[in-house]
Amino acid sequence: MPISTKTKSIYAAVVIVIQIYFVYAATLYVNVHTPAILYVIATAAVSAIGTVYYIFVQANKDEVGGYNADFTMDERRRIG
Amino acid sequence: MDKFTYFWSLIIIAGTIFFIGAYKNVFLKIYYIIWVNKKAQEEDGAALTSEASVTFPEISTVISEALLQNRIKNRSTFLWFRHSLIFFGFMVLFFFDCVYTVFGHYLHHYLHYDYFVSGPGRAFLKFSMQLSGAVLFLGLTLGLIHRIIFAERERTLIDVKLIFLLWVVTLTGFLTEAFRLSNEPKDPFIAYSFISGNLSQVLQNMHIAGVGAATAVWVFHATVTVAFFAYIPFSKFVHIIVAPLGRSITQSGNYGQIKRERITEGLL
Repeated sequence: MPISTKTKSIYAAVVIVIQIYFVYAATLYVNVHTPAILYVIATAAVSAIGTVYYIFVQANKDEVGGYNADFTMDERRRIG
Repeated sequence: MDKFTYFWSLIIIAGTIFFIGAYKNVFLKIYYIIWVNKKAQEEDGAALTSEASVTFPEISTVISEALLQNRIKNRSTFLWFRHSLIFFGFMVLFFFDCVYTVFGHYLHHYLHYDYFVSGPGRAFLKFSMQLSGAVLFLGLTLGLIHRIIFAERERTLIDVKLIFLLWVVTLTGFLTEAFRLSNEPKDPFIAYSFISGNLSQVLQNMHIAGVGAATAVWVFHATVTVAFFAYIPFSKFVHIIVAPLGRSITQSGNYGQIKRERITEGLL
């Protein structure tokens, strides 16, 4: 596997920091004393979970296929 | 849900999709190339020169092929002109939009200044965004017309849906500003928005420029713009990010030659 867990963790951490920044930036426009801010926070939380899932689970499976010479052509096409 | 709650939720979702796409279609692939180069160097260090092991192209190649786009010019002067309008229009608009977002919308909350909020800086940014937006819009319109006329020949090279998406983003950008100005006709910077300012008068004359319509156009523009950025890594738009790196394949000398040979071997 060419990509290390450390590199994946750094990438995921950068994305999550950006998501947190977006929530912070949203507080300049969305009233934090109303339930509206909860939509933004919930969206960021789901997005963060999605990011971690993709990088550590889904992409991991694709990488194994992408770098394995025995992988079928159909599977390679699926990965893209 | 008010428009800003919708907008920021959308930004977070689109940003996540963008970074996942960038991970899949840019980051992993560049990482893989570096890994393969390193492996090849370790296994065959003597045969592989240091020049050939470098993943990234020379600055002169980036300037010639990504900035000046000389390879497109070799194909057709018209295509080069059209692509240059889109390239420079997009890059300049994106740059000034970022400056306007940071200095016009955020930093003044912390650092108290007027230059970009109600001073000459705002006028300069408004004018620059309108001008670069017009250049981009002209290039995209030429691209759409050319793609439609030469549909058979250009089908595999140009995805008309992508050009149309960016065309809609640009058009709705002008309309969003025009609807805002038609509701704020005494905006002191209306003259600097020289396209949207004139459009706002047309909208006023047509009596279709209410606050509700302005919000609807704003929401639509925000949605298509965010969708465009989220779609970049999954479509041909990815060349916006990777073209400067990918140009190394055509680099003259040992590096480009070895890279072409290695890719050919991989295909065989």
